[in-house]
Amino acid sequence: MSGAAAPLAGRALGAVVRLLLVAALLHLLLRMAPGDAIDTLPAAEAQRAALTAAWGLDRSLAQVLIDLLRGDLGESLVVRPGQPVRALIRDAAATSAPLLLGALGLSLALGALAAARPSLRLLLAPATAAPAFLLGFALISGINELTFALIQAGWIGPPRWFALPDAPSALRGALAAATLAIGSGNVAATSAGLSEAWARAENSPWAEALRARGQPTRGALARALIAPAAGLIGSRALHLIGGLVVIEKLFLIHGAGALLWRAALDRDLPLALGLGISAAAATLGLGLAAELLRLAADPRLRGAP
Amino acid sequence: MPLPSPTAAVRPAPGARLAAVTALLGALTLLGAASPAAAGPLRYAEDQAPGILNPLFTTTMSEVRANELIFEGLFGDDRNLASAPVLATGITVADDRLSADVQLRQGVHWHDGRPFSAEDVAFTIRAMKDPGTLSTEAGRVAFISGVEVIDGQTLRLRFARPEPAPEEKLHFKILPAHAFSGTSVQRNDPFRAQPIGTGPYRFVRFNSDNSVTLAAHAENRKPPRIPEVTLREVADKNYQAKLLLYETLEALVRVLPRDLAILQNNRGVELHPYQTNAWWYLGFNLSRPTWADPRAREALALMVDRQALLAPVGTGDLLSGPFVRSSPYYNHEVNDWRPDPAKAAALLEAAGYRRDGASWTRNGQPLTLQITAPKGLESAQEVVINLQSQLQAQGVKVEVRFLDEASWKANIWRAKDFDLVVSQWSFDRNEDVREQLHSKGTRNFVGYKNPAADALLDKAQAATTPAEKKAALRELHGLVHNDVPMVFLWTLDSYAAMSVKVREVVVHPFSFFSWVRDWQIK
Repeated sequence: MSGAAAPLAGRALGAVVRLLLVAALLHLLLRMAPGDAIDTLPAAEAQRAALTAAWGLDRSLAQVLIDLLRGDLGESLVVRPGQPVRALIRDAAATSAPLLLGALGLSLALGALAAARPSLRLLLAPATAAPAFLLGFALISGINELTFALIQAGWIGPPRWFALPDAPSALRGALAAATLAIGSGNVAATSAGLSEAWARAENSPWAEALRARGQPTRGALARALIAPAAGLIGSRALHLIGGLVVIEKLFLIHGAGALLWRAALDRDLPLALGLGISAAAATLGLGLAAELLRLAADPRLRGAP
Repeated sequence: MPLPSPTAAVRPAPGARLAAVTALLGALTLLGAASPAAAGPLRYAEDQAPGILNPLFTTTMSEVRANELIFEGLFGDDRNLASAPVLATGITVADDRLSADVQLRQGVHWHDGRPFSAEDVAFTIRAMKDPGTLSTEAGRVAFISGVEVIDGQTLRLRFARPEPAPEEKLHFKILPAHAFSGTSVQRNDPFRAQPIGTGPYRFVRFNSDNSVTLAAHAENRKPPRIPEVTLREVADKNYQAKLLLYETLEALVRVLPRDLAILQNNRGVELHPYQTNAWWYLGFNLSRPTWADPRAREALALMVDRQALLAPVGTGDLLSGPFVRSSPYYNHEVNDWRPDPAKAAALLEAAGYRRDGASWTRNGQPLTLQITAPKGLESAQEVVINLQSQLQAQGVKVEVRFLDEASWKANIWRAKDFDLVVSQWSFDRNEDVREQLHSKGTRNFVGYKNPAADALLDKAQAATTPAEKKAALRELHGLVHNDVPMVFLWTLDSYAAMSVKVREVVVHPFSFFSWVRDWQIK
């Protein structure tokens, strides 16, 4: 096994173990929460024993983990009764993925811009200081109230995308992605990280050597940022994925975050567990992809001479 | 202010207006011109889209309303809320009232074109009663002990005890036997997502935005006049009223009290008042020593200014017992609790409490209670906070707690971990309070036990005439009022809001869409 492959294989194996640990922890947390899926049904108390058995609420942790290893996520109990959890997650993930990737792209773009232009960092500072829910609420309320005032004044007719939370639109998606990127602290962290990496690269011996030889440094410096940027993606992925719940609730996006919220409220154990594990897998996957990118971008990390 | 025409073009801004506003208008125009609401569909908002469209497993009011559009019962309510035939044409009750023959309507077809018959009714009853079905609606057919198909259009029902007016209980929705393989129906049966009914609208599809599209089913009696209905999930109630004003909805099922004024003053919207069979209450935990003493309960009832609690959350009727004022079972001779701090103080003193400075104490311990309310109960927060303020001003130390639905059942119903709850009971047309007030009632989590009350509930259940039932329940009203297991608060006035384009609207107080066939959109 090559020098680079061994740690990667180790990380992949570690990821599987971590997923199982996450699953176990989630299962225990969900079981510890007061009430269960039967409690969300009216007049179901008399059928508790039968429903507990039918819904597998009495399964042990070991049984749950074995089913997960087999790839069996089960069926939704309350939110979408009878629908396979796997299909529900797939559909919800398809809605959340563009939001997540958009927020990731925006984090990098705005972070790089802010790193390059301190004035932009100052401009973004108030927004990056606000938590995602506050930023999103202010955006939605501000734009909707303003637009409603314009409609009421007779200046415009109701636009197709209006009101913001009501229907899918490019504007709603862009605002949600921006709120997620900024409100999750990713832009600020990316900006700080890239700024530091840029300064480090600029003061590095190889950059000084290039300058001494009169060669351009900009391209080499930009390439030197790829590895730190990838590292930042990996380390910040959890914040973005965690932020999905709040952003999707605020912007009424029917993605994985909103579904997880509903599943937790309705004590839909298989669905909540499936979504939680998928979120953990996505976080680990993004981290792994970022690590691969980092290795590809920086030969020194692969142990190259 | 009237709404602008939805087709109105963007008007140029006068030169004096700020450039920024002009730029914004330009951007708004680029993002999309007005999308006029089509004349046809009726779009209404629900906080939560139905998870399942199978009347055997109805769990939410959103599902009740959707089921009303898709399915029909043997009987339904006429405009006077009296039972009238729907899928039945009549009922012949035996002299002993232990059985009845139901004659069914001919020429009725399911949404998939198959003919409706007595087999479908028999199947529905058997499926509801089948222990394998685990139907949450099984209680609705508990009074039926047997069902027999006489011929395609007639069936005989046998009852567990004499039924004075069985048609009053035959409002449950009928399912197509041919869509199922047996009477043991599971919640995850594919029917949940492709329901087939005989109702005014047939299911078309679940949409990706959680909305549900229904289309008029014109084949049966009296086709609906609105060709399409869309149920839209708008989880944020704060936006529902605005969406009606923006003309992206035609109907709101229930208007928040704070939105009433803005909707009332809009010429594009009409409000439709309706009264539900739902009442709010304060429920004591009678298993706790403090509240086992009736003097303490009565004292607390006299400390509460219910009118002041009601005012911020809407309008309605204060109640003295477990029925709404319009109910035949409401006993108008029972007087309401009125705030009387002096009498409350005397009762607490008689119960062994002493006013120690700002607080009531007994054996050196301050009178403390925790008020718990369901998180999902609209306006509960305002009520609880104001109640806390009222009681604290009179020397009772109060903590508050809000629980989600599952925690509510676990903590309140099962663990009985509460002092006082603020909650609401909603009833269908039968207003059956047995489960709430009988000592063996499944919803009697307050722990009310009075043999006299049990006897009256039994008498009401066994009554062979409506008058007999009415007398028993009115007596129960007075008894429960005096025992104070709960402080009965109020029934709230409800308002639906509709675009003025929707005409001929009459709203059913429980199922909402019962008379939707008459509605039309101009």
